[in-house]
Amino acid sequence: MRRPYIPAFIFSVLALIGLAIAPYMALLYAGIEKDMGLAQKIFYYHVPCAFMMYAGFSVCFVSSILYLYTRKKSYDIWAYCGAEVGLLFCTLVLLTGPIWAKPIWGTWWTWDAQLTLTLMLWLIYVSYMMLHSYSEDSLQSAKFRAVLSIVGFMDMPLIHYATKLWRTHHPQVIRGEKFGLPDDMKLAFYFCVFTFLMLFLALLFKRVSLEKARDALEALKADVRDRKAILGQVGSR
Amino acid sequence: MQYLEYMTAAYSIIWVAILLYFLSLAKRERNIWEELESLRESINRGESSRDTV
Repeated sequence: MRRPYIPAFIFSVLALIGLAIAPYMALLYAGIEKDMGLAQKIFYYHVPCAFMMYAGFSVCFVSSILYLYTRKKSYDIWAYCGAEVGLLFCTLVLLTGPIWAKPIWGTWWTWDAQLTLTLMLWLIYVSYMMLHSYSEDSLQSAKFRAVLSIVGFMDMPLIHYATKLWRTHHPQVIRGEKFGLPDDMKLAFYFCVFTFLMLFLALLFKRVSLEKARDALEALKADVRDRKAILGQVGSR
Repeated sequence: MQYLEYMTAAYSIIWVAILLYFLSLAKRERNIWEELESLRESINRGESSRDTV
């Protein structure tokens, strides 16, 4: 019988509840911003996606360092799964950002520092995934990927502080201690962040459990092959 | 209802992408279970043929 992986199951239930309520919070509970109109509502999903992108790549970064230090396979699994889930949210950030930008800035894309750095981050982690998929030597690939994830992680503070470091078009969501939103929008935003956090954790734990199961299966298959080879040798004598 | 189409497009993309990712995880899980079942069957076949010998 298949047993659900407990953390993935708990976070999935919380994410489903959150995803059922989040549209109400974002679309109905929070007021409509007078200048941007309904385009501003993209913010409630776009920004939490960006936070989960940071979370996924941070999991990858920490696990990669631990892998390089200990060479334990489980850290490589966590790093790879963190990168995959982080890449999903990074893709969503890059897709929803231009949809907001078109009505507000009048263009889908501009080579603004924050946007360009986010695209670079996406390309780094796409390379990371390709390295995992196409490399034949898994140990060497794990080492290269760990180094690549450390390089990719260095891009993240630049993205986060791009609005302060350079003159960018991108709006600054949080200004120091202040969070320039009315209370209803603030509550809707926090609720969406919580929902996306639950969703992120559900996807991450599910992905890790799958990868561990695949790893165990591959080990079992290798074991069966070895036993068959031994039995074949005994039988031929 | 200013910019309704942009909001709908953004929300739809997020929902569809997350749904597709969930479906891909479910497919990968099913593949693992199928491989495990076939491995179990091949082990059982091997053991039963050894018993008959």
